[in-house]
Amino acid sequence: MADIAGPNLDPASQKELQQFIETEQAHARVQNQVHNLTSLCWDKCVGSISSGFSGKEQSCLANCVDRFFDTSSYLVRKIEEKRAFAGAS
Amino acid sequence: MTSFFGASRTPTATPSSPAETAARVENLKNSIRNEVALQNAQELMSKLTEKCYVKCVPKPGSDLSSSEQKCLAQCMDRYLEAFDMINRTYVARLKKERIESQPSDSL
Repeated sequence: MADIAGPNLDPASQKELQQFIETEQAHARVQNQVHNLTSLCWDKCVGSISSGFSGKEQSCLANCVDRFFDTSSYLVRKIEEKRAFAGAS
Repeated sequence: MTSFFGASRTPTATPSSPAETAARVENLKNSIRNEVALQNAQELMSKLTEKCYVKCVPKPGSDLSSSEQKCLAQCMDRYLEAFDMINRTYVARLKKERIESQPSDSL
């Protein structure tokens, strides 16, 4: 990673660039998750195509992300319980 | 891709002035920003095409009928709308989770 910008960059600029790249990578990861979730929620919530979303579709899309987060943390909790139980016996 | 990191330049040993260095760093940042934006747009286009193809062209005929075209145009608007919605909710939820996961004494 150190010589991506060629040998002419001083350490301070290299560090600045490195930090910039890390921020951009974090940003890209979020962007990727948004693509995945849009795809997932589209399949779950959207019926036939018309000039606008129905009320049902709107609320489904609005809930879809938050319930995904809840599902994720719920399952993490469950698997931890399982592990704690397996460790205790 | 060779010009992406300025590789087409010969790596001479002459040190550049601070202004030159700053300009190079800015150039690199802009290339990276553009690359990220391009990838994002490509991903959106590819997902959108797939989803709308499924919804609007269930049985591919000898050409795109006008009703299929109308459906595709509407579908694109809906998909972009959904993407914006999901984006906003996702970012809001991330912020909330981050605040909640911070220990209270650090606030």
